[in-house]
Amino acid sequence: MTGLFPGFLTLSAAMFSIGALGVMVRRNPIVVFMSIELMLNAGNLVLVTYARYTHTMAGQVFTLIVIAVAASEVVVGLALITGVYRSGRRLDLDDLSEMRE
Amino acid sequence: MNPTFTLVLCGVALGLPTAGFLINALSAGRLPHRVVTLLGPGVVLGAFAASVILLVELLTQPPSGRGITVILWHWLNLSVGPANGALGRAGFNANFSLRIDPLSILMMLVITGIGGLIHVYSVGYMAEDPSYNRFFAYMNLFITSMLVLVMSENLIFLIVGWSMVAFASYALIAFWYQRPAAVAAGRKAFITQVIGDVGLVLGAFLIFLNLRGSGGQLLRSVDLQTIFANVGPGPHFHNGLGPSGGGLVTAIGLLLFLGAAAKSAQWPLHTWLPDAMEGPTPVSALIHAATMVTAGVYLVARFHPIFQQAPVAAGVVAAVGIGTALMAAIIGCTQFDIKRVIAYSTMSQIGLMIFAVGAGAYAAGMFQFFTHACFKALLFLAAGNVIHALHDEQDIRSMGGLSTRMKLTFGAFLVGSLALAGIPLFAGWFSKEELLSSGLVLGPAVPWLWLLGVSVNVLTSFYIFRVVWAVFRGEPTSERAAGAHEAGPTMLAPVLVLAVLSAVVGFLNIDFFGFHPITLFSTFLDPVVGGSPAQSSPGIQAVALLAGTLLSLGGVALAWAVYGRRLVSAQLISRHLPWLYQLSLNGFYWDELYGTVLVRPTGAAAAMVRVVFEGELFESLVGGVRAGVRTLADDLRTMQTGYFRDYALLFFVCAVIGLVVLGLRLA
Amino acid sequence: MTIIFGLAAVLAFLGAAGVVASRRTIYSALSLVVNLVALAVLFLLLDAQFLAAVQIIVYAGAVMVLFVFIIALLAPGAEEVVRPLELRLLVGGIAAAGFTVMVGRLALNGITVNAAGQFHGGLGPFSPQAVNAHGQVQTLGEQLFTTYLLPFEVTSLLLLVAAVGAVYLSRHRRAAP
Repeated sequence: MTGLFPGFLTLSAAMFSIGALGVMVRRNPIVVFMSIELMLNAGNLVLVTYARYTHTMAGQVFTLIVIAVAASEVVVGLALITGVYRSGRRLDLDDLSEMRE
Repeated sequence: MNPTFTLVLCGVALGLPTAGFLINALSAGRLPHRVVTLLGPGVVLGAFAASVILLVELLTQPPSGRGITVILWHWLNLSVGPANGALGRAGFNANFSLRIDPLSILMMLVITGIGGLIHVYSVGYMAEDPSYNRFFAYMNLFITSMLVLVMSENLIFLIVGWSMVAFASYALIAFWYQRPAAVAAGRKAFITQVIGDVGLVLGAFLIFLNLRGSGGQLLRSVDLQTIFANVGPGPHFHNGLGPSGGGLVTAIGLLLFLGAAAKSAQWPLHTWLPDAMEGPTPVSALIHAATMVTAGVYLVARFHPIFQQAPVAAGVVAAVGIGTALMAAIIGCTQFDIKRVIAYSTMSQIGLMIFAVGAGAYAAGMFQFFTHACFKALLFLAAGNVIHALHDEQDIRSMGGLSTRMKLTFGAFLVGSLALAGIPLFAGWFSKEELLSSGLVLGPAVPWLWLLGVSVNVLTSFYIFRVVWAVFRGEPTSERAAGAHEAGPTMLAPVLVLAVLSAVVGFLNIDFFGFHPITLFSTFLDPVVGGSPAQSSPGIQAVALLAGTLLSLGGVALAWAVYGRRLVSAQLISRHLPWLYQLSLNGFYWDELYGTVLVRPTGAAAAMVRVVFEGELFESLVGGVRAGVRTLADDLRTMQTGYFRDYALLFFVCAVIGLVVLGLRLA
Repeated sequence: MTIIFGLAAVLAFLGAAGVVASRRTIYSALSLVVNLVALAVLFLLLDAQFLAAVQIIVYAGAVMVLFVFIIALLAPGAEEVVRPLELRLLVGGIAAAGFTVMVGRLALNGITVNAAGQFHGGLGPFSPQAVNAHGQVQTLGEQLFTTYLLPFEVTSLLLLVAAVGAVYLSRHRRAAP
């Protein structure tokens, strides 16, 4: 198991970057949200890995807190998306973008 | 001499015409006519008064102490650069310092005195001109420029005055700028003088860079007294600019003479003077009789220590002078415009002066300058009277019979002509014979120089009395001539004053052919220019004096025979020697030569540059830059899509780049 | 162990790729579930049994259920075409790959933890054996309520805010006139 430390970190980096890619490429807001969840999970993996390898508890505590925060964020975000849907707009980020002229 | 008093007087002499110019110019032509009438001539006459007081102050000193340098204001005193043993301090110094010595006082008196008379004359001549104010502004500027030129003790301000004079002459020659001929003439004068300026400036540079002190160190001085102390004869004399007759000194002499030749309208830079008659007559009197054209003579006289060290250059000066004198005298015999005759006469007389100072007879040259200023200004102003009375008619073939209609002007013009021709007891006789006697001494065994000088005198008498007979005697050949009447008081008074001067001023110096009872003038100039050259034997001198005088009278008689009594046909030369007549009539074709060789190729080159360089090259360069920037901007604009995810991509990519760089450095 | 790790890692990776690359939204959600379960296995491998359980219960069980409900409610058959050779994808993909490689390199070079799995700054007291002896849940609970009390309380506040916010945001509005 000691030799797996790089593997955990690399996997976490791969998940994180795939999640970032999803945020940048996809247009459906729900998928974008899921990509954000992916990124948070990658962070969780790193935290737990370090907790295990440095024999501390802080990593695990913060992972717990991250899970709680992620849940609340999902709740609020999905409520927003529902609101957008109900107002008749299409669920397409390019459509919803207000920065474009 | 009290330096403070001198400084104040110098300030007045320089400041009055400057103030006149500034007040006039800055009021944009809105000053009332009467104010300008008082202001314009007034400041010049005030400067004349200051000059007279300076003269008196100078005369109270013993001859050896007649020279003082005052600093009008401290300009540049830099204390950087290598320490300079001879000067006692390091660095470069250039102050607006003025030199008051006999030579500069003489120039100042002529400039302000005769200039003042011409200003008074202009009040009458230019009375109906709409640009009356502008005229006096430029005239005052001209006086200021000439004063700066002659009073400067400093190469830098000498050059400044030199260039200011060139500009003022351009402004005055092209005064009636609505006439294309006047503008072309002004431009020609200015460009020719700029060519001369190049020579002057290069000469000054050479002096500055190469002058060495007695210890062999580089002096880097622009101060004239310092330069002359290290070059010319004097207690501390040594060869500051290289060996006597060496290449450096000769080059400097020739370059300085280039500048002098441009100002004094000597060959080859003489073509601007006849065209400059496009300016108003008072301008011709001021610029071409009394002041600007004599600046070249002044330069050679002032820089005589350098010319004494460069015999080759001095020889060139003398040769060019006498050559121009002869050429101009020949041309003057066939011209029909009264002002052109007088213009060529000026060129010829200046040539004699240049010859004198080139040959080392500085006092003679300056005396000729003094008398010439009086009678040439007289001739121009009297001619102006005639032109004004005939409503701007200038062709002598349309005049005649004015001696009865304009008695006083006729009398004055006659006095001027007698002086110019060198008739005994008039001013010109004394100065010319003094000149010729120097020529006699300095020539080789056969006195070529004296013969050339006498030829010039004969031609001079001829052409000026040709004008006298054509203009004043006989019957009027046009209606305008028939209806002419005498000029008004403001135009007559200066003319009469100048006539009196032309008559008596010669007696200030009687020094020729070994006969020198009165030498006020030359002794006055002695502290500056040294003594006169040696004389030859009394017998030859007496013969030369007699022969010269008789030949001058012979010229007058010839004119009387041709034009007065019609004993000899006026077309004698034109019929039997047509080539000579054509050469004379067309000014030896120098204008045409310069036009073909210099002017037209330059014009063609300029047109080519305009089309090729400006039109195509620069347009495509600039256009290319413009298009390139346009393209770049358009490409960059595509980055701003308005979608946040593109911006997020940008963040991510840059963050990754940062991490990669950091990671590579850590691991 | 290594084999389990390998399988779990591959599953996690495939799940992640599935989230981003799926054409239909529901497929993305399901891929994410796969990812989360694989992650729970990885937590088990890292001696964080409690967290593995929490991950399954809360994340995969509650959060993903919520996602699936919303997808079913709003956009059940939603499809989205991702143009494969889009510039964004290309640039982003390169950046992603670069990031991963870099992290792997850094991890291999023993920045904080060396090859023997030892922390450069010395190990803390909570080795897996000690924790297991005392009990997972007890240890975590003790830490949560003593050393990390403040974050705990703030998190509970956050949950309250989120609940209130969600209720408010999704209330029925009168139709606009």
